[in-house]
Amino acid sequence: MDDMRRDVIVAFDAGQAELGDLRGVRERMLRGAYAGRTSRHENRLQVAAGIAAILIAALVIATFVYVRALTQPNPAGGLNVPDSTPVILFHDPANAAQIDGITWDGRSFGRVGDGGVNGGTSNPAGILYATGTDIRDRTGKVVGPLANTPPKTSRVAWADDEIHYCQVVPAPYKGVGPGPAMLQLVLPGGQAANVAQIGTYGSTGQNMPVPTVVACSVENDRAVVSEATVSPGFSVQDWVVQLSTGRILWTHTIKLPGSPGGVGTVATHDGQFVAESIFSPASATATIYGPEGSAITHLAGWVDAFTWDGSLAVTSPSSGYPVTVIRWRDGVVVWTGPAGLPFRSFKSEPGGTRMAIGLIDNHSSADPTVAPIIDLYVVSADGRLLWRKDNFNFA
Amino acid sequence: MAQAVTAGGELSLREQALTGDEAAFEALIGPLVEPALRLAHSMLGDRWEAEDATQEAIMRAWRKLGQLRPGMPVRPWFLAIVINQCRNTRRTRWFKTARIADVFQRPRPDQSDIERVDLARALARLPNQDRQALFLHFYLDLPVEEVALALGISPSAAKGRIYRACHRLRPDLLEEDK
Repeated sequence: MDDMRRDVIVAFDAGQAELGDLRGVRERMLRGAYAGRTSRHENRLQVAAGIAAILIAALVIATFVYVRALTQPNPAGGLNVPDSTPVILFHDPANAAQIDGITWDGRSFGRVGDGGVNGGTSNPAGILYATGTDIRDRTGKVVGPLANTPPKTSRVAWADDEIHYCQVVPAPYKGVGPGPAMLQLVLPGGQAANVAQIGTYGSTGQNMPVPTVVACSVENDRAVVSEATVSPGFSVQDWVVQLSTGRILWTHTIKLPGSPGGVGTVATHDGQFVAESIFSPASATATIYGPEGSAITHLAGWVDAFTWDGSLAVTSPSSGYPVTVIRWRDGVVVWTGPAGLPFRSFKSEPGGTRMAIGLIDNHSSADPTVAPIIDLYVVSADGRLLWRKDNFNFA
Repeated sequence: MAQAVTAGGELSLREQALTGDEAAFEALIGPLVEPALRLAHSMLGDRWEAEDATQEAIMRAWRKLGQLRPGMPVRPWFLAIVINQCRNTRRTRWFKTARIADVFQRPRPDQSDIERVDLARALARLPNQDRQALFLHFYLDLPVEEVALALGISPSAAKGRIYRACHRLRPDLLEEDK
């Protein structure tokens, strides 16, 4: 271990060489910090007044929120929040091609950019989003092309480091027909790194033609990939892969004996927990697997999503509603959605505890050509409805 | 490298700093500025970004000093602020990470020792959280308990993270240790 310590220090030393001589840096940085801060003494009264004002404002806002839901967002101007503030990106209700953003407290929103017609998939903090052809930042500026490989494209699965994304593309293949698929880790504007050959690309040509990345975690060095096949028999295989080595950490296959029905996989953002759900009109059940691939618990219902810390799961019964948020380890129900509104979409606050749940408001419409109207419910980890908006389509 | 600041001396310095005493604050945080800057540089790969992040962390430490409970060691508390600040910087300046990745992954021309270059590459390939744990434990010489506090995880998780990172770097070396 001493050898390891010495070698690691030497390796880190090489990287630290750029810092050079640090004499005087301590005094300089402390002086700079003093210059930048607000004096506690001088501003004590102002701080007290500010706190009072904030409390009054919070009271007014809280009252407003509880009295009625916020009005429709109509962002005329740009999103004016610091880049480090996580936001939820969504398609503008009046123009789906326009991507707008709203802060997790629901108080600030504004226009972000175009390109939402064939995409708009945003990363966890809403800093970047993918259109059908490129990656854009929060100002709508194109920052790089989408590294998709023709002829088929796969969905961008953003990583939890807010920078990279995972995707599945065809692996080099000289044969005819379906070929092997390749999981890649991509840095926007940079190279796509091959991680592992997984599943079959174009295996069905039907509903789920390519493996889907359900979790991409640079922070935890793992991705979760799921592939459905419909012939022979309906089955789903899930793989948990180490991103840095391409090693398959564990894999599991579900076979659905009959139809109608369905199988679905979701995972926590870090790929630690994976939920496989089996659905039929009569019942829905889910199994949650742990980091090593062993089954931890079985749940009644379909798991739609997990919160950022993985402690809560959004679930739906076989009827589709009401949607519930449960503490999945002990089954305690934290929040129950309105009756009659099935699950549609979900975002968890990166590094936080809030969750944004999209429910379909016009589910009962008999006209199949009518686009779903989605209502947004932002819920705290202890089950409080913090705010909601109608007609909200996640990016 | 980092100076360990004992809990006994912190109490009074902390209280003095809370009253706005810059000298007390400097006595508390001053010895930690260089380790913080090195930590920030290891996370951001750029001196100026690292200085910005460290300076911002110092300001935050000043504002959040009331959250430092009596008896709580200053070093992991302050380094946790630095880590959070660096994470925010990485989120904000995402585009610069392309350059950071390039710096980490590019073989350094003045390093002729292949094994050393391999280890540097292997370090660069580690997940961020594993690399941070190694940096805090080996490079800044923090005990596991302080690594845990700085990273906001349990001591056993910190120990596991360090072991896992070592195993990824040199699996054969650890086998020999057994």
